[in-house]
This record gives sequence, C-alpha cells and structure tokens, in this order.
Amino acid sequence: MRREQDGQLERLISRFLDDEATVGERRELNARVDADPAARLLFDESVDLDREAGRALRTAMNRPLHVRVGSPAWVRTWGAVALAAAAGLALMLGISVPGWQGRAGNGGANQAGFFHNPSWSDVMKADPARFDRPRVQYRGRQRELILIPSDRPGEFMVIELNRIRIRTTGIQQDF
Amino acid sequence: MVSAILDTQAVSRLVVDARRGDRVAADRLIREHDRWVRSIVYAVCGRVDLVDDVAQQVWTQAWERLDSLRDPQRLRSWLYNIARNAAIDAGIARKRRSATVSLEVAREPSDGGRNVNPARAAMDGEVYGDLVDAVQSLPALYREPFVLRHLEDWSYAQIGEVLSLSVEAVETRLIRARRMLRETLKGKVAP
Repeated sequence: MRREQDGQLERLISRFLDDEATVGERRELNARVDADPAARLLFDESVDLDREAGRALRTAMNRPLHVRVGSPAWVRTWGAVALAAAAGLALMLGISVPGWQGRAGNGGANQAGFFHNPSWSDVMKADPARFDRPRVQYRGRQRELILIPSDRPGEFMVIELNRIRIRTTGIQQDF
Repeated sequence: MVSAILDTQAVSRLVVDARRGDRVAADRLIREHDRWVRSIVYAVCGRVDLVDDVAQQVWTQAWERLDSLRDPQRLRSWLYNIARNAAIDAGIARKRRSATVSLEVAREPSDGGRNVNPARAAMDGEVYGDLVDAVQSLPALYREPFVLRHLEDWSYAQIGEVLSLSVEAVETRLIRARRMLRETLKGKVAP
C-alpha cells in the first residue's frame, strides 16, 4: 500500500513538473504535500533537481535559461496565435509591469514588487491608477517583451514578439 | 523567438514541395525542425562538440532520402530515426579515434572557449558537471524523453509522436528518469 502511495506521489510530482497535471491531480498533490512532511521533502527535492537539471542541459546546449510557469500548456498548444492574442490583450489592458521602471521611472523602487505576485484583481482594486495605460516610448525596436508573473515567486512568463505591426502605439514610459 | 508550431498538413505540404526541389520549403523545414534534431543528437551522444557536425549529416541524409518518406505526416519520427542513428554512429566513430572519451572535453565548446556562455561560466562547475553526467548516465530510453522535455519543453504527446511512444509510456519513462537522477544525485544538488 505504501509503495503504491509512493508511486502515485511520484507520478503526481512528475506530471506537475511536466505541466501535464490536471486540476484534480494538482489538488491531490497539494493535499498530500501539505499533510505529509516526507511528501513535501520529496516534492521540494524533485522540483529543485528538475529545475537544475533543465538548466544544466540548456546551458550545455547554449539555450536560453527560461523559467517555467505553472500552466503554460496553452502556450505550447496554440503557439504564436496565443502569443499574439496575449500581447494584444496586454496592450489593450495597459498592464504596467510592476518594478520595471529602472531606467525611466523611479530607479527601481518597485523592483521588489515585480517578484511579488498578488492576484491582479486585488492589486487593481487597491491601486487602480497603477493600471492606467503605460506611457512607454520606444522606437525602432523589432521586438517586444511582455512579462507576466506566475504563481511562484521569482517566476514569470516572457512573451517575446518579433513581428509587431503596430506602428501607431505610443508608450512613453519604460516598462 | 518562438516559432509557430506547424500543423501536420502544413508539414506535409512543405515535404511535398521540398521533394520537388523547392528551396524555400526545404529551408523552412530545416528551420522548423533543426533545433529539436540537435536536442536528439545531444540526448543520444551526450557531446555538445559533435552536435553541429552530426546535425549537418542528418540534414544531408534527410535530403538524399526524402523520397523514402512515404507518409509526410510521419516526418518527425522519420527525422528522429535519422538523427538517432547518425548520433550513435558519430559516438562510435569518436570512441574509435580516442583511447578514452573524456567528459571534460565533451563539456568544452568546440571553438576553444572563445564563445563562453556567461550563464555556464556562472554556474557552479561541479554541480553542473554532476548534473550533466547524471543525465548522460541514464539509459537511452529514459534519457531521450527527459532531454527533449527540458530542451524543447514538449508535451507528452509531442515527445511520443517523435519517439513513437504512447503518452503513458512517455510519462512512465520520465518518472523513472527522475527517480534514477534522484538516486544518483542524492545530496549533491543544493536547492
């Protein structure tokens, strides 16, 4: 029985690490990790090892050291279509990424805020002025980065766009 | 840059066009598939310094044998077989030329270190070496899906398509790969 439970825990952790876990499986994993210190230890070790092994492999192959977010499966599935839609939505909402005011803004006073990820709806209610359309100016760049924080501190999804056809968007603040 | 994931019909059209000598279609096929082909080569032979040469051989063979690809929708698994065999042959040939295969040599870039990856330089060398060695020590049937998962960020279905495995088989192999890595690296990788 114990071995079956260990096997199931391993399976849940592996599926979680691969972003293949269903909502139910994530709930089950959370419950087991919260209830059992040994499960928590295995989970933490597995996450660390998988992350470092991935970095080692990407470093060996000179690949970008991206960080992985909780549920990017839709990104893999829909590829550029989802990225373009997300970029359009982000521009429409005028999301100001907290903390990225290093050059043109207040010298990074909000840098700690970038890695703090409260729910966006709570932040918007608390400080609606912060989500006015950002005034960022850039010209001549062929790429744009959109950063969306994930559920885990220190992790964010980076959306890089290469073929921006918007010529008239004027953004006057670096973000 | 994230490239669009071609659907199988688009891939089929490109293969048909490439067979007819369409260079644009051929170039696009290479651009769409070269990166993961290189990941497979590295997963099989474990040597970064061989990846460029072997990848070139893979594409040369692919174009010479493109007519043998009966079903263009099976392009990925067909390329995988070519890449895997080429990587194995390159590894065997390398072993014949060297009395011993040095993993230290394998970790150094073939350009003599001129293009040092700053991230690599910043990583703890010992931990990096242990991790790479541990992954390369995995049996091939566990190593290949594990490397593809991390280098390509593919889903189980995508890995299964290339390796001709079911989703369940991919999942099982990844579980076992992780278990073996944990056992090999117990206590060596600090959080």
